Amino acid sequence: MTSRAFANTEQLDPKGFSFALASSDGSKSRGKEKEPTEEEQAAIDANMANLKLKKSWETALGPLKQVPMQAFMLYMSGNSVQIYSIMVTVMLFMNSGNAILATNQAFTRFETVSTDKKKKAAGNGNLILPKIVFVLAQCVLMGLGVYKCSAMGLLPTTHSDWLSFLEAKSVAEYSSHGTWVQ
Amino acid sequence: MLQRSISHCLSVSHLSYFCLFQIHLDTVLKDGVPTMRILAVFEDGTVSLLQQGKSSQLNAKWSRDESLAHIVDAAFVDLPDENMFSLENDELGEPLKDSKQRDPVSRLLKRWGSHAVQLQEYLTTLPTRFLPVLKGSSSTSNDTVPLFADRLGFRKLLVVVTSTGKIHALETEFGKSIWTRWVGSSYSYSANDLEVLRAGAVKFPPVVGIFGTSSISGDVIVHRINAITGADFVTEQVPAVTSLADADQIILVPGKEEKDHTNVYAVVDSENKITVYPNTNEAVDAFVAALPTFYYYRVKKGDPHVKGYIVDNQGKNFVGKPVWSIDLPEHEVVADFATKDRTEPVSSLGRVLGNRSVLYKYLNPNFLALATLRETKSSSNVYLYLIDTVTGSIYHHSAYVGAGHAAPGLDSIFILQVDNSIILSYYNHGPERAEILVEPETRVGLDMEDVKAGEGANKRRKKSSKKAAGASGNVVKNTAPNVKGYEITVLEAYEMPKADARVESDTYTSFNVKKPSFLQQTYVFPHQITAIGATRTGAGITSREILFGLSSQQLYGVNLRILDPRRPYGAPTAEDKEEMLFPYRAVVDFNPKELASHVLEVAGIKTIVSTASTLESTSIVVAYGLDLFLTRRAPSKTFDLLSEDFGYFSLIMTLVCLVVGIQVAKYYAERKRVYDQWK
Repeated sequence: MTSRAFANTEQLDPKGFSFALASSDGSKSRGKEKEPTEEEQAAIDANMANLKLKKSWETALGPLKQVPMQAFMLYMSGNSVQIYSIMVTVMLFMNSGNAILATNQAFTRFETVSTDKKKKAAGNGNLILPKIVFVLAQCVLMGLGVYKCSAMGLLPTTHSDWLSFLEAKSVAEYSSHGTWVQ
Repeated sequence: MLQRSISHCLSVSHLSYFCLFQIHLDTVLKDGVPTMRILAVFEDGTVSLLQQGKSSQLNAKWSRDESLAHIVDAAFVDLPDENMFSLENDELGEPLKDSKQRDPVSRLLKRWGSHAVQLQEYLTTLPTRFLPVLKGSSSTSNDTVPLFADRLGFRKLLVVVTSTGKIHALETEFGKSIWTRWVGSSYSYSANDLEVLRAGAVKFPPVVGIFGTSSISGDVIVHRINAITGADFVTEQVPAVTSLADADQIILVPGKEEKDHTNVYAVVDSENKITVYPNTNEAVDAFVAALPTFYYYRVKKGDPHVKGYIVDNQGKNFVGKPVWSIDLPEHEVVADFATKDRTEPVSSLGRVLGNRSVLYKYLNPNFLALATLRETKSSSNVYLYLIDTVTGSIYHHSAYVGAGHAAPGLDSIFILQVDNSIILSYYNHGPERAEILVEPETRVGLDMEDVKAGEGANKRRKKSSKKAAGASGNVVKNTAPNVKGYEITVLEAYEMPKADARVESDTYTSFNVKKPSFLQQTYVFPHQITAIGATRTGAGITSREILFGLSSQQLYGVNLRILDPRRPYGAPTAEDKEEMLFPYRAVVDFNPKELASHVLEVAGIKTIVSTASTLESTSIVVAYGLDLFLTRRAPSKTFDLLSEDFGYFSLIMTLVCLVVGIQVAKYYAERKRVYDQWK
């Protein structure tokens, strides 16, 4: 009875523990590990999946929690092009880039371990959305880095950055007064 | 200037073929015997002291060539490169049509072949390159000057022609005279102009042409001379000396003739009939090819008008037809005019401002800056017109009341065009000569941008005179402060008044154009100006310097960063500091360190010319008039040269020690590693 009361919370049952032993008709299954019934198994799985989903959303929104701290660090590094500001900005880009590339790794612990393909596909399908959100959150961090670059004046957004690629206009007419020789 | 008159030719020992111009007689007592002495000035400029010898024959005691005091025109000629006949040069001189016909593979192989030859040559000359570095810089005072260009481009030929037709070719490194010629020996000749007819190329030596008038016939005589040797330049079709009847002006035609690669000139006479010089078929073909976009105009100092023409091809003849004419108002005459040098390179098409936006420059090679003078008994005004010479449109017209020449005969109005700037200098007589006749037209002529942007003493004067002026037609006195002195006005032309705006087009045509906007500023110059010139460099990256010839016999340079119309009033903002602009002060401080002529005295400077060297930071400047002075100016300091006390030795030793140290440490580290593995 006690275990059933706790089944809906975060607590997981210890390994090997089964509902059958704790149930009231214990006389029938004394000394033998009884397999949980189908619907109980489904309930267990549903709980696990729920848990995993919750956790995966936490991971997905994790980068957004870093945004204020990174923003503050960038603010403190100043707007001039110095070794420290460049280092901080580049670290930000590199960390975000690596995290995006390692998205799958970050979500491995939330994948359903099961031999049943259908269950597996269903479980992993739920992870697609958190993964997308994770990638977007990393992009927000990179956006911070891009904003910092533009504040330092490193982005070619103004006319003066493209001035050296301009070609001189060719002049259509030729007019001259020459020299007086008389 | 030496005036020509009927010359008497004297037979005097070795000077038998020169003609006298002036003589001064003198007698001295030599050993108790009175002897005649004659100081003779000859027509070619030689001054000689002739003394009566034993047998009453005149001997020349000494003679000096003083013709360099009467220089009329000068031109720089580049000396050819030493490896003139290498394969690579042949390939580059090949016309494009020929190379297009060959297949790419054979062209590539040919290029590799020429690179291999170049590598060979480089390796053989490599040891000699390091000798000067190890020996230390040595100034050679050899007798023979090698007539090849040196690595830094400081050795060029300066060809000068004097008023009597004496031509000198001087090399620019030590001033040695390479050759001298007198083309006026057979007739009375007055040289007017020197043109480089052909800049030196691989197989074609440089040729210069001297245009002058002969007093006998009144024709213009052209001599073509090889600039390196001084000998006459003769081709099959064109003789060394040509005579052009009744020629008034010569105009360079764009495009070259294929055969001799010399410049083609359109010769205009007083009735606007045009002939082509040199008068060969190829030259006429080149002229006809350029005709659709060819315009010319006539302007002369002292004229009251400027007229523009277009050329009409009437079969064999060419006639100039008038297209536009600007007739200056009453009593106004042309004082000086200037155009931009067409061959001048421009390194950036815009001026970058502090907030990273760009003011696009107005670069029109057909732009004429005209300064006119209107002098009456009581007033003197200078007017500036900026004219597009293809259409005759006046894009800018401003008035400088009270300005003029410092004294009759002392020319003070000079104008110069550099990059997109126009620099005008004049003498400001102050309010006592600044009466203006207020007419409605002059009010409209002053642009709003002009009034907003034009600052300094001029604006106060203009404004106060506008306020003081009553009804139109009145002559009013100016109430500005009584300041007299030389002033310099700088105008910069930009395509649009706002930044980041540009006329979007690939070609620039004078017929479809928006009026450019101008930024103007005036500065007071503390000395008397007799001439004005500018530096020029190979790629136009170095900032330009304006050189002034002073009446105190000096040559003074002012960086264009000082003569900048965008200099702010009051404290500079962060953006101004980004642009490195310092606050505006009306007076250009005289800094003795900027004297190009340092302690030397260069008397009577009339003209300043300059040319580029191979180094981007340095420009070669020549000032001539009475004296001839050449110097090298580096307006942005020598940013592309290592300093003289650069530690080559310490650098090389450090590198050698490091390499040796690394090898030694590598050996020991490897040994230790192997030992550790055996333990």
